Amino acid sequence: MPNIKLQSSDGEVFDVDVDVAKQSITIKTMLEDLGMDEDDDEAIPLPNVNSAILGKVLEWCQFHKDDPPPPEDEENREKRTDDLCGFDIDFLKVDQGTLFELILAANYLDIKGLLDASCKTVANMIKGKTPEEIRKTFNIKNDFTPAEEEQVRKENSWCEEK
Amino acid sequence: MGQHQTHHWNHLPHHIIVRILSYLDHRDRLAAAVTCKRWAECFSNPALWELDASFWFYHGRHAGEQLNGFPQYAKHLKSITLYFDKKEYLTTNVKNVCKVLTVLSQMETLKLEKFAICADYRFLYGRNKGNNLAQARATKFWELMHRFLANPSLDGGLREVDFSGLPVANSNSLVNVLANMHSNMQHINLQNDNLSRVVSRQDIVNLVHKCRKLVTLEILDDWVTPALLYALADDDRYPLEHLSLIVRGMRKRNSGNGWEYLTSKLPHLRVSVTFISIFPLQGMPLSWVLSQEIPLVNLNVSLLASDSYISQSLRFLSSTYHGTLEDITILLPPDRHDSLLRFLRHCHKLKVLCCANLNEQVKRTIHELYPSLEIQESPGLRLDPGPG
Repeated sequence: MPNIKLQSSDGEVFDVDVDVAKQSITIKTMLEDLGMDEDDDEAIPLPNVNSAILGKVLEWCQFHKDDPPPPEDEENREKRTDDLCGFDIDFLKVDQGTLFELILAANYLDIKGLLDASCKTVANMIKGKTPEEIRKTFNIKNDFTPAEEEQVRKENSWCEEK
Repeated sequence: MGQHQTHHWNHLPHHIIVRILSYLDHRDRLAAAVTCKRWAECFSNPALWELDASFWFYHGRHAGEQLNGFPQYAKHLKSITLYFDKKEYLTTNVKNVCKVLTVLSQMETLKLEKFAICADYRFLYGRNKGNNLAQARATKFWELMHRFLANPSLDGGLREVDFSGLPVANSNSLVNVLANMHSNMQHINLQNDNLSRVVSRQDIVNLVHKCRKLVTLEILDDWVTPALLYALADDDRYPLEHLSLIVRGMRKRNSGNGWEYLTSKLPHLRVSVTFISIFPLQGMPLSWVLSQEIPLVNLNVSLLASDSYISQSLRFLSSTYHGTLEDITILLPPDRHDSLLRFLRHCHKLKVLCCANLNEQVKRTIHELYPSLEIQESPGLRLDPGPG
Protein backbone atom coordinates (compact mmCIF):
# COMPACT_ATOMS: atom_id res chain seq x y z
CA MET A 1 0.00 0.00 0.00
CA PRO A 2 1.59 3.32 -1.05
CA ASN A 3 2.21 5.94 1.58
CA ILE A 4 2.32 9.70 1.46
CA LYS A 5 3.88 12.23 3.76
CA LEU A 6 1.94 15.00 5.47
CA GLN A 7 3.62 17.89 7.22
CA SER A 8 1.94 19.66 10.12
CA SER A 9 2.15 23.39 10.80
CA ASP A 10 4.89 22.82 13.37
CA GLY A 11 7.00 20.82 10.94
CA GLU A 12 6.33 17.23 11.99
CA VAL A 13 6.08 14.78 9.09
CA PHE A 14 3.54 11.96 9.18
CA ASP A 15 3.93 8.92 6.96
CA VAL A 16 0.41 7.83 6.06
CA ASP A 17 -1.34 5.16 4.01
CA VAL A 18 -2.84 6.91 0.97
CA ASP A 19 -6.27 5.40 1.50
CA VAL A 20 -6.34 6.64 5.08
CA ALA A 21 -5.30 10.15 4.06
CA LYS A 22 -7.78 10.29 1.18
CA GLN A 23 -10.69 10.48 3.58
CA SER A 24 -9.69 14.10 3.61
CA ILE A 25 -11.24 15.49 0.45
CA THR A 26 -8.70 18.31 0.60
CA ILE A 27 -5.79 15.86 0.46
CA LYS A 28 -7.56 13.66 -2.09
CA THR A 29 -8.06 16.67 -4.36
CA MET A 30 -4.44 17.70 -3.98
CA LEU A 31 -3.28 14.23 -4.97
CA GLU A 32 -5.65 13.82 -7.88
CA ASP A 33 -6.14 17.28 -9.36
CA LEU A 34 -2.86 18.90 -8.63
CA GLY A 35 -0.93 15.95 -9.96
CA MET A 36 0.93 15.24 -6.77
CA ASP A 37 2.47 11.86 -7.18
CA GLU A 38 1.84 9.20 -4.61
CA ASP A 39 5.45 8.05 -4.76
CA ASP A 40 6.66 11.58 -4.34
CA ASP A 41 8.97 11.92 -1.44
CA GLU A 42 7.99 15.46 -0.78
CA ALA A 43 5.63 16.02 2.16
CA ILE A 44 2.29 17.75 1.63
CA PRO A 45 2.26 20.83 3.86
CA LEU A 46 -0.83 21.35 6.01
CA PRO A 47 -0.19 24.80 7.45
CA ASN A 48 -3.49 24.97 9.31
CA VAL A 49 -3.09 21.84 11.42
CA ASN A 50 -0.59 21.31 14.20
CA SER A 51 1.02 17.95 14.93
CA ALA A 52 -1.08 17.13 18.00
CA ILE A 53 -4.32 17.64 16.07
CA LEU A 54 -3.05 16.05 12.84
CA GLY A 55 -2.06 12.99 14.86
CA LYS A 56 -5.59 12.78 16.28
CA VAL A 57 -7.18 13.34 12.87
CA LEU A 58 -5.10 10.56 11.32
CA GLU A 59 -5.98 8.23 14.20
CA TRP A 60 -9.66 8.90 13.39
CA CYS A 61 -9.07 8.32 9.66
CA GLN A 62 -7.21 5.09 10.37
CA PHE A 63 -10.15 3.71 12.36
CA HIS A 64 -12.73 4.80 9.79
CA LYS A 65 -10.80 3.87 6.66
CA ASP A 66 -13.25 1.14 5.64
CA ASP A 67 -16.39 3.21 6.22
CA PRO A 68 -18.70 3.64 3.24
CA PRO A 69 -18.48 7.15 1.76
CA PRO A 70 -20.83 9.59 3.51
CA PRO A 71 -24.11 10.30 1.65
CA GLU A 72 -24.03 13.35 -0.61
CA ASP A 73 -27.56 14.34 0.16
CA GLU A 74 -27.29 16.99 2.86
CA GLU A 75 -31.02 17.54 3.06
CA ASN A 76 -31.89 14.10 4.19
CA ARG A 77 -29.04 13.74 6.59
CA GLU A 78 -29.95 12.32 9.95
CA LYS A 79 -30.57 14.93 12.58
CA ARG A 80 -30.07 12.58 15.46
CA THR A 81 -27.01 12.84 17.64
CA ASP A 82 -27.23 9.56 19.51
CA ASP A 83 -25.85 7.54 16.63
CA LEU A 84 -22.14 8.12 17.24
CA CYS A 85 -20.16 4.89 17.32
CA GLY A 86 -18.32 3.89 20.49
CA PHE A 87 -14.96 4.80 18.98
CA ASP A 88 -16.12 8.34 18.13
CA ILE A 89 -17.63 8.88 21.57
CA ASP A 90 -14.35 7.98 23.29
CA PHE A 91 -12.26 9.69 20.64
CA LEU A 92 -14.11 12.97 21.18
CA LYS A 93 -13.95 12.90 24.96
CA VAL A 94 -11.41 15.72 24.89
CA ASP A 95 -11.15 19.20 26.35
CA GLN A 96 -13.13 21.86 24.52
CA GLY A 97 -9.92 23.36 23.08
CA THR A 98 -9.01 20.11 21.34
CA LEU A 99 -12.60 19.64 20.19
CA PHE A 100 -12.54 23.15 18.74
CA GLU A 101 -9.33 22.47 16.83
CA LEU A 102 -10.59 19.10 15.61
CA ILE A 103 -13.65 20.82 14.15
CA LEU A 104 -11.50 23.40 12.36
CA ALA A 105 -9.15 20.68 11.12
CA ALA A 106 -12.02 18.50 9.90
CA ASN A 107 -13.43 21.56 8.16
CA TYR A 108 -10.11 22.52 6.55
CA LEU A 109 -9.23 18.98 5.55
CA ASP A 110 -12.85 18.39 4.47
CA ILE A 111 -13.45 15.15 6.37
CA LYS A 112 -17.21 14.98 6.52
CA GLY A 113 -17.48 12.07 8.95
CA LEU A 114 -15.22 13.71 11.51
CA LEU A 115 -16.93 17.08 11.11
CA ASP A 116 -20.31 15.44 11.67
CA ALA A 117 -19.15 13.49 14.69
CA SER A 118 -17.49 16.50 16.32
CA CYS A 119 -20.44 18.82 15.63
CA LYS A 120 -22.80 16.22 17.07
CA THR A 121 -20.59 16.02 20.14
CA VAL A 122 -20.84 19.78 20.57
CA ALA A 123 -24.63 19.58 20.08
CA ASN A 124 -24.79 16.90 22.77
CA MET A 125 -22.82 19.16 25.11
CA ILE A 126 -25.32 22.00 24.49
CA LYS A 127 -28.48 19.96 25.02
CA GLY A 128 -30.46 20.82 28.13
CA LYS A 129 -28.18 23.68 29.13
CA THR A 130 -29.07 27.29 29.81
CA PRO A 131 -27.36 29.97 27.69
CA GLU A 132 -25.12 30.82 30.64
CA GLU A 133 -24.06 27.18 31.04
CA ILE A 134 -23.35 26.94 27.32
CA ARG A 135 -21.16 30.06 27.47
CA LYS A 136 -19.28 28.58 30.38
CA THR A 137 -18.76 25.22 28.71
CA PHE A 138 -17.34 26.74 25.54
CA ASN A 139 -15.82 29.96 26.85
CA ILE A 140 -18.18 31.97 24.70
CA LYS A 141 -17.94 35.67 25.35
CA ASN A 142 -21.36 37.29 25.71
CA ASP A 143 -21.33 40.32 23.40
CA PHE A 144 -25.03 41.07 23.89
CA THR A 145 -26.38 43.73 26.17
CA PRO A 146 -28.98 42.17 28.50
CA ALA A 147 -31.70 44.00 26.55
CA GLU A 148 -30.48 42.65 23.20
CA GLU A 149 -30.29 39.14 24.55
CA GLU A 150 -33.81 39.36 25.93
CA GLN A 151 -34.99 40.69 22.56
CA VAL A 152 -33.61 37.70 20.62
CA ARG A 153 -35.06 35.33 23.17
CA LYS A 154 -38.49 36.93 23.13
CA GLU A 155 -38.76 37.18 19.38
CA ASN A 156 -38.13 33.51 19.01
CA SER A 157 -39.68 32.24 22.15
CA TRP A 158 -42.02 29.95 20.27
CA CYS A 159 -38.98 27.70 20.24
CA GLU A 160 -39.29 27.27 23.96
CA GLU A 161 -42.75 25.79 23.78
CA LYS A 162 -43.12 22.04 24.13
CA MET B 1 -2.43 27.16 16.57
CA GLY B 2 -0.92 27.26 19.97
CA GLN B 3 -2.09 24.94 22.71
CA HIS B 4 -2.77 27.71 25.18
CA GLN B 5 -4.67 30.25 23.19
CA THR B 6 -8.29 30.88 23.99
CA HIS B 7 -10.57 29.12 21.57
CA HIS B 8 -12.99 31.50 20.04
CA TRP B 9 -16.17 29.52 19.81
CA ASN B 10 -17.82 32.85 19.02
CA HIS B 11 -15.89 32.89 15.78
CA LEU B 12 -16.41 29.43 14.33
CA PRO B 13 -17.27 29.59 10.63
CA HIS B 14 -20.96 30.19 10.07
CA HIS B 15 -21.63 26.90 8.36
CA ILE B 16 -20.20 24.97 11.28
CA ILE B 17 -22.34 26.81 13.82
CA VAL B 18 -25.34 26.19 11.59
CA ARG B 19 -24.46 22.51 11.45
CA ILE B 20 -24.22 22.32 15.23
CA LEU B 21 -27.52 24.15 15.66
CA SER B 22 -29.19 21.85 13.15
CA TYR B 23 -28.68 18.94 15.51
CA LEU B 24 -30.59 20.70 18.27
CA ASP B 25 -34.30 20.90 18.85
CA HIS B 26 -35.80 24.37 18.87
CA ARG B 27 -35.49 24.96 22.57
CA ASP B 28 -31.77 24.08 22.74
CA ARG B 29 -31.23 25.89 19.46
CA LEU B 30 -32.56 29.11 20.94
CA ALA B 31 -30.53 28.67 24.13
CA ALA B 32 -27.38 28.37 22.01
CA ALA B 33 -28.40 31.29 19.83
CA VAL B 34 -28.64 33.79 22.67
CA THR B 35 -25.11 33.06 23.91
CA CYS B 36 -23.55 35.60 21.52
CA LYS B 37 -24.23 37.70 18.42
CA ARG B 38 -22.47 35.36 16.02
CA TRP B 39 -24.52 32.37 17.09
CA ALA B 40 -27.68 34.49 17.00
CA GLU B 41 -26.91 35.40 13.38
CA CYS B 42 -26.62 31.74 12.54
CA PHE B 43 -29.97 31.06 14.18
CA SER B 44 -31.62 33.04 11.39
CA ASN B 45 -29.64 31.28 8.70
CA PRO B 46 -31.96 29.90 6.01
CA ALA B 47 -30.10 26.59 5.86
CA LEU B 48 -31.12 25.90 9.43
CA TRP B 49 -34.80 26.29 8.74
CA GLU B 50 -35.15 24.66 5.39
CA LEU B 51 -36.01 21.33 6.81
CA ASP B 52 -38.70 21.70 9.38
CA ALA B 53 -40.38 23.89 11.90
CA SER B 54 -42.96 22.57 14.25
CA PHE B 55 -44.89 25.16 16.18
CA TRP B 56 -46.17 24.16 19.55
CA PHE B 57 -47.89 26.88 21.44
CA TYR B 58 -48.66 25.41 24.75
CA HIS B 59 -48.05 28.11 27.23
CA GLY B 60 -47.60 31.28 25.31
CA ARG B 61 -45.56 33.07 27.90
CA HIS B 62 -44.65 35.86 25.54
CA ALA B 63 -47.93 36.32 23.82
CA GLY B 64 -47.70 38.54 20.81
CA GLU B 65 -43.96 38.84 20.70
CA GLN B 66 -42.92 35.27 20.52
CA LEU B 67 -43.12 35.10 16.75
CA ASN B 68 -41.51 38.41 15.85
CA GLY B 69 -38.46 36.56 14.53
CA PHE B 70 -40.56 34.23 12.42
CA PRO B 71 -40.82 36.28 9.19
CA GLN B 72 -37.01 36.18 8.89
CA TYR B 73 -36.90 32.50 8.12
CA ALA B 74 -40.51 31.77 7.13
CA LYS B 75 -39.69 31.93 3.46
CA HIS B 76 -37.14 29.16 3.79
CA LEU B 77 -39.30 26.66 5.55
CA LYS B 78 -40.15 23.50 3.71
CA SER B 79 -42.38 22.04 6.34
CA ILE B 80 -44.62 23.58 8.95
CA THR B 81 -46.66 21.83 11.55
CA LEU B 82 -49.05 23.80 13.72
CA TYR B 83 -50.09 22.10 16.90
CA PHE B 84 -53.31 22.83 18.68
CA ASP B 85 -53.70 22.11 22.31
CA LYS B 86 -57.27 21.80 23.41
CA LYS B 87 -56.64 23.63 26.64
CA GLU B 88 -55.39 26.65 24.81
CA TYR B 89 -58.00 27.12 22.13
CA LEU B 90 -59.21 30.41 23.34
CA THR B 91 -55.91 31.92 24.22
CA THR B 92 -52.39 32.33 22.96
CA ASN B 93 -52.36 29.15 20.96
CA VAL B 94 -54.91 30.39 18.45
CA LYS B 95 -53.47 33.88 18.41
CA ASN B 96 -50.07 32.48 17.52
CA VAL B 97 -51.44 30.12 14.93
CA CYS B 98 -53.19 33.10 13.33
CA LYS B 99 -49.97 35.04 13.43
CA VAL B 100 -48.10 32.27 11.65
CA LEU B 101 -50.86 32.07 9.04
CA THR B 102 -50.86 35.84 8.60
CA VAL B 103 -47.12 35.82 7.91
CA LEU B 104 -47.45 32.89 5.55
CA SER B 105 -50.31 34.44 3.65
CA GLN B 106 -48.26 37.59 3.03
CA MET B 107 -44.91 36.02 2.09
CA GLU B 108 -43.82 36.77 -1.43
CA THR B 109 -41.65 33.69 -1.64
CA LEU B 110 -42.47 30.39 -0.06
CA LYS B 111 -40.75 27.07 -0.41
CA LEU B 112 -43.29 25.25 1.64
CA GLU B 113 -43.86 21.64 0.64
CA LYS B 114 -45.58 20.27 3.70
CA PHE B 115 -48.21 21.83 5.90
CA ALA B 116 -49.89 20.12 8.79
CA ILE B 117 -52.37 21.07 11.45
CA CYS B 118 -52.19 18.65 14.29
CA ALA B 119 -53.88 18.50 17.65
CA ASP B 120 -53.19 16.60 20.80
CA TYR B 121 -56.15 14.48 19.86
CA ARG B 122 -57.97 14.14 16.59
CA PHE B 123 -61.23 15.89 16.00
CA LEU B 124 -62.85 12.73 15.04
CA TYR B 125 -64.83 10.80 17.39
CA GLY B 126 -68.27 12.25 17.29
CA ARG B 127 -67.92 13.61 20.81
CA ASN B 128 -66.78 16.77 19.20
CA LYS B 129 -69.78 19.05 19.37
CA GLY B 130 -69.40 21.77 16.79
CA ASN B 131 -66.43 24.01 16.40
CA ASN B 132 -63.71 24.03 18.97
CA LEU B 133 -62.94 27.69 18.72
CA ALA B 134 -64.89 30.66 19.93
CA GLN B 135 -66.83 32.08 17.01
CA ALA B 136 -64.76 35.21 16.36
CA ARG B 137 -61.47 33.33 16.46
CA ALA B 138 -62.88 30.52 14.39
CA THR B 139 -63.87 32.93 11.65
CA LYS B 140 -60.49 34.63 11.68
CA PHE B 141 -58.61 31.34 11.67
CA TRP B 142 -60.71 30.03 8.81
CA GLU B 143 -60.18 33.21 6.79
CA LEU B 144 -56.43 33.08 7.33
CA MET B 145 -56.26 29.43 6.33
CA HIS B 146 -57.83 30.49 3.04
CA ARG B 147 -55.56 33.44 2.50
CA PHE B 148 -52.55 31.26 3.20
CA LEU B 149 -53.58 28.40 0.91
CA ALA B 150 -54.51 30.87 -1.81
CA ASN B 151 -51.16 32.69 -1.57
CA PRO B 152 -49.80 32.54 -5.12
CA SER B 153 -46.27 32.26 -3.70
CA LEU B 154 -47.00 28.65 -2.85
CA ASP B 155 -46.91 28.25 -6.61
CA GLY B 156 -48.02 24.65 -6.78
CA GLY B 157 -45.13 23.63 -4.55
CA LEU B 158 -47.25 22.18 -1.79
CA ARG B 159 -46.93 18.40 -1.83
CA GLU B 160 -48.39 17.35 1.46
CA VAL B 161 -51.19 18.59 3.71
CA ASP B 162 -52.48 17.10 6.91
CA PHE B 163 -55.72 18.61 8.18
CA SER B 164 -56.44 15.94 10.75
CA GLY B 165 -56.17 18.49 13.55
CA LEU B 166 -58.38 21.22 12.10
CA PRO B 167 -60.25 22.70 15.07
CA VAL B 168 -62.93 24.20 12.89
CA ALA B 169 -64.39 23.81 9.41
CA ASN B 170 -66.92 26.34 8.22
CA SER B 171 -67.42 25.04 4.72
CA ASN B 172 -66.05 22.80 2.01
CA SER B 173 -64.06 25.70 0.58
CA LEU B 174 -60.67 24.62 1.94
CA VAL B 175 -60.91 21.30 0.14
CA ASN B 176 -61.91 23.16 -3.01
CA VAL B 177 -58.89 25.46 -2.73
CA LEU B 178 -56.69 22.38 -2.50
CA ALA B 179 -58.35 20.95 -5.59
CA ASN B 180 -58.14 24.15 -7.60
CA MET B 181 -54.75 25.53 -6.61
CA HIS B 182 -52.64 22.64 -5.42
CA SER B 183 -52.89 19.96 -8.02
CA ASN B 184 -49.33 18.78 -7.35
CA MET B 185 -50.35 17.39 -4.00
CA GLN B 186 -49.01 13.93 -3.25
CA HIS B 187 -50.21 13.30 0.29
CA ILE B 188 -53.51 14.47 1.71
CA ASN B 189 -54.96 13.74 5.11
CA LEU B 190 -58.55 14.87 5.72
CA GLN B 191 -59.36 12.51 8.58
CA ASN B 192 -61.12 15.13 10.62
CA ASP B 193 -64.51 15.25 12.23
CA ASN B 194 -65.13 18.93 11.51
CA LEU B 195 -64.47 18.40 7.81
CA SER B 196 -66.83 15.46 7.73
CA ARG B 197 -69.77 17.80 8.35
CA VAL B 198 -69.06 20.22 5.54
CA VAL B 199 -67.24 18.24 2.87
CA SER B 200 -69.40 16.17 0.55
CA ARG B 201 -68.57 12.97 -1.27
CA GLN B 202 -68.65 14.93 -4.50
CA ASP B 203 -66.03 17.36 -3.10
CA ILE B 204 -63.68 14.44 -2.50
CA VAL B 205 -64.27 13.04 -5.98
CA ASN B 206 -63.54 16.49 -7.38
CA LEU B 207 -60.35 16.75 -5.29
CA VAL B 208 -59.16 13.39 -6.54
CA HIS B 209 -59.93 14.39 -10.12
CA LYS B 210 -57.84 17.54 -9.77
CA CYS B 211 -54.92 16.14 -7.77
CA ARG B 212 -53.64 13.54 -10.17
CA LYS B 213 -50.32 12.91 -8.45
CA LEU B 214 -51.72 11.59 -5.20
CA VAL B 215 -49.66 8.84 -3.62
CA THR B 216 -51.34 8.78 -0.22
CA LEU B 217 -54.93 9.63 0.56
CA GLU B 218 -56.24 9.55 4.11
CA ILE B 219 -59.97 10.16 4.36
CA LEU B 220 -63.11 9.03 6.11
CA ASP B 221 -64.90 5.94 4.95
CA ASP B 222 -68.12 7.99 4.72
CA TRP B 223 -66.69 9.66 1.63
CA VAL B 224 -65.97 6.44 -0.23
CA THR B 225 -68.27 5.96 -3.19
CA PRO B 226 -68.04 4.04 -6.46
CA ALA B 227 -67.37 7.38 -8.16
CA LEU B 228 -64.36 7.98 -5.92
CA LEU B 229 -62.94 4.51 -6.49
CA TYR B 230 -63.35 4.89 -10.25
CA ALA B 231 -61.73 8.33 -10.11
CA LEU B 232 -58.73 6.87 -8.29
CA ALA B 233 -58.48 4.18 -10.94
CA ASP B 234 -58.22 6.68 -13.82
CA ASP B 235 -55.60 5.74 -16.34
CA ASP B 236 -53.77 9.02 -16.72
CA ARG B 237 -52.91 9.62 -13.07
CA TYR B 238 -50.05 8.62 -10.82
CA PRO B 239 -50.84 5.31 -9.16
CA LEU B 240 -52.13 5.76 -5.63
CA GLU B 241 -50.06 3.71 -3.19
CA HIS B 242 -51.83 4.06 0.09
CA LEU B 243 -55.45 4.67 0.98
CA SER B 244 -56.31 5.07 4.63
CA LEU B 245 -59.91 4.99 5.77
CA ILE B 246 -61.48 5.76 9.10
CA VAL B 247 -64.79 4.06 9.68
CA ARG B 248 -66.85 6.02 12.16
CA GLY B 249 -70.28 4.55 12.06
CA MET B 250 -72.10 1.88 10.24
CA ARG B 251 -73.57 2.35 6.88
CA LYS B 252 -74.49 -0.16 4.27
CA ARG B 253 -71.58 -0.32 1.83
CA ASN B 254 -72.45 0.62 -1.66
CA SER B 255 -69.21 0.76 -3.52
CA GLY B 256 -70.57 -1.43 -6.31
CA ASN B 257 -67.71 -3.21 -7.93
CA GLY B 258 -65.55 -0.10 -7.51
CA TRP B 259 -63.05 -1.91 -5.32
CA GLU B 260 -62.68 -4.72 -7.79
CA TYR B 261 -62.04 -2.25 -10.58
CA LEU B 262 -59.64 -0.16 -8.49
CA THR B 263 -57.52 -3.13 -7.41
CA SER B 264 -57.40 -4.45 -10.96
CA LYS B 265 -55.97 -1.07 -11.99
CA LEU B 266 -53.76 -0.63 -8.94
CA PRO B 267 -52.52 -4.08 -7.95
CA HIS B 268 -50.02 -2.61 -5.47
CA LEU B 269 -52.48 -0.42 -3.60
CA ARG B 270 -52.30 -0.78 0.18
CA VAL B 271 -55.34 0.03 2.27
CA SER B 272 -55.54 0.79 5.98
CA VAL B 273 -58.83 0.70 7.83
CA THR B 274 -59.39 2.00 11.34
CA PHE B 275 -62.67 1.46 13.11
CA ILE B 276 -63.24 4.04 15.75
CA SER B 277 -66.34 2.45 17.11
CA ILE B 278 -66.52 -0.65 19.19
CA PHE B 279 -67.95 -3.72 17.52
CA PRO B 280 -70.48 -5.14 17.20
CA LEU B 281 -72.20 -2.07 15.95
CA GLN B 282 -75.90 -2.56 15.73
CA GLY B 283 -75.15 -6.25 15.46
CA MET B 284 -73.62 -5.89 12.02
CA PRO B 285 -71.02 -8.48 11.15
CA LEU B 286 -67.67 -7.22 9.93
CA SER B 287 -68.32 -8.79 6.54
CA TRP B 288 -71.14 -6.30 5.95
CA VAL B 289 -68.88 -3.37 6.58
CA LEU B 290 -65.68 -4.35 4.81
CA SER B 291 -65.73 -5.07 1.10
CA GLN B 292 -64.09 -8.36 0.35
CA GLU B 293 -62.10 -6.83 -2.51
CA ILE B 294 -60.29 -4.29 -0.32
CA PRO B 295 -56.53 -4.95 -0.41
CA LEU B 296 -56.45 -4.59 3.35
CA VAL B 297 -52.91 -4.31 4.69
CA ASN B 298 -53.46 -2.61 8.00
CA LEU B 299 -56.46 -2.95 10.28
CA ASN B 300 -57.35 -1.33 13.59
CA VAL B 301 -60.39 -2.91 15.12
CA SER B 302 -61.93 -3.50 18.46
CA LEU B 303 -63.91 -6.68 19.01
CA LEU B 304 -65.34 -6.46 22.46
CA ALA B 305 -68.20 -8.81 21.83
CA SER B 306 -69.56 -12.27 22.34
CA ASP B 307 -67.42 -15.33 21.72
CA SER B 308 -69.35 -16.29 18.62
CA TYR B 309 -69.13 -12.78 17.18
CA ILE B 310 -65.38 -12.71 17.77
CA SER B 311 -64.68 -16.07 16.21
CA GLN B 312 -66.99 -15.31 13.29
CA SER B 313 -65.23 -11.95 12.70
CA LEU B 314 -61.74 -13.39 12.92
CA ARG B 315 -62.70 -16.21 10.58
CA PHE B 316 -63.99 -13.65 8.10
CA LEU B 317 -60.81 -11.56 8.39
CA SER B 318 -58.44 -14.49 7.94
CA SER B 319 -60.34 -16.09 5.08
CA THR B 320 -60.79 -12.78 3.24
CA TYR B 321 -57.57 -10.85 3.86
CA HIS B 322 -54.94 -13.52 4.53
CA GLY B 323 -53.27 -12.58 1.26
CA THR B 324 -52.75 -8.92 2.18
CA LEU B 325 -52.99 -8.29 5.92
CA GLU B 326 -49.62 -7.31 7.37
CA ASP B 327 -50.39 -5.28 10.43
CA ILE B 328 -53.31 -5.62 12.80
CA THR B 329 -54.21 -3.79 15.98
CA ILE B 330 -56.99 -5.63 17.69
CA LEU B 331 -58.75 -5.20 20.98
CA LEU B 332 -60.21 -8.40 22.40
CA PRO B 333 -61.74 -9.20 25.75
CA PRO B 334 -59.29 -11.01 28.04
CA ASP B 335 -58.89 -14.76 27.55
CA ARG B 336 -60.40 -15.07 24.11
CA HIS B 337 -57.20 -15.99 22.45
CA ASP B 338 -57.92 -19.36 20.92
CA SER B 339 -59.70 -17.65 18.01
CA LEU B 340 -56.76 -15.30 17.71
CA LEU B 341 -54.38 -18.26 17.38
CA ARG B 342 -56.60 -19.77 14.69
CA PHE B 343 -56.61 -16.41 12.93
CA LEU B 344 -52.81 -16.19 13.02
CA ARG B 345 -52.51 -19.64 11.47
CA HIS B 346 -54.07 -18.36 8.26
CA CYS B 347 -52.60 -14.88 8.02
CA HIS B 348 -49.16 -15.82 6.85
CA LYS B 349 -48.28 -12.29 5.70
CA LEU B 350 -48.81 -10.77 9.12
CA LYS B 351 -45.74 -8.90 10.40
CA VAL B 352 -47.10 -6.94 13.34
CA LEU B 353 -49.69 -7.93 15.89
CA CYS B 354 -50.72 -5.26 18.32
CA CYS B 355 -53.01 -6.53 20.99
CA ALA B 356 -54.05 -5.75 24.51
CA ASN B 357 -54.72 -8.32 27.22
CA LEU B 358 -52.25 -10.89 25.92
CA ASN B 359 -51.16 -13.02 28.83
CA GLU B 360 -47.58 -14.26 29.02
CA GLN B 361 -48.43 -17.79 28.03
CA VAL B 362 -50.33 -16.77 24.90
CA LYS B 363 -47.50 -14.44 24.00
CA ARG B 364 -44.97 -17.24 24.40
CA THR B 365 -47.09 -19.59 22.29
CA ILE B 366 -47.44 -16.99 19.54
CA HIS B 367 -43.75 -16.25 19.66
CA GLU B 368 -42.84 -19.93 19.36
CA LEU B 369 -45.23 -20.52 16.47
CA TYR B 370 -44.39 -17.31 14.61
CA PRO B 371 -40.91 -16.18 15.65
CA SER B 372 -40.76 -13.44 13.02
CA LEU B 373 -44.06 -11.85 14.07
CA GLU B 374 -43.58 -8.63 15.98
CA ILE B 375 -45.86 -8.49 18.98
CA GLN B 376 -46.66 -5.07 20.36
CA GLU B 377 -48.62 -4.40 23.46
CA SER B 378 -51.02 -1.55 23.39
CA PRO B 379 -54.38 -0.71 24.83
CA GLY B 380 -55.68 -1.80 21.46
CA LEU B 381 -57.06 0.91 19.28
CA ARG B 382 -55.55 4.28 18.95
CA LEU B 383 -58.63 5.71 20.55
CA ASP B 384 -57.62 9.07 21.83
CA PRO B 385 -59.79 10.54 24.52
CA GLY B 386 -62.30 12.96 23.12
CA PRO B 387 -62.48 16.55 24.25
CA GLY B 388 -63.78 17.27 27.70
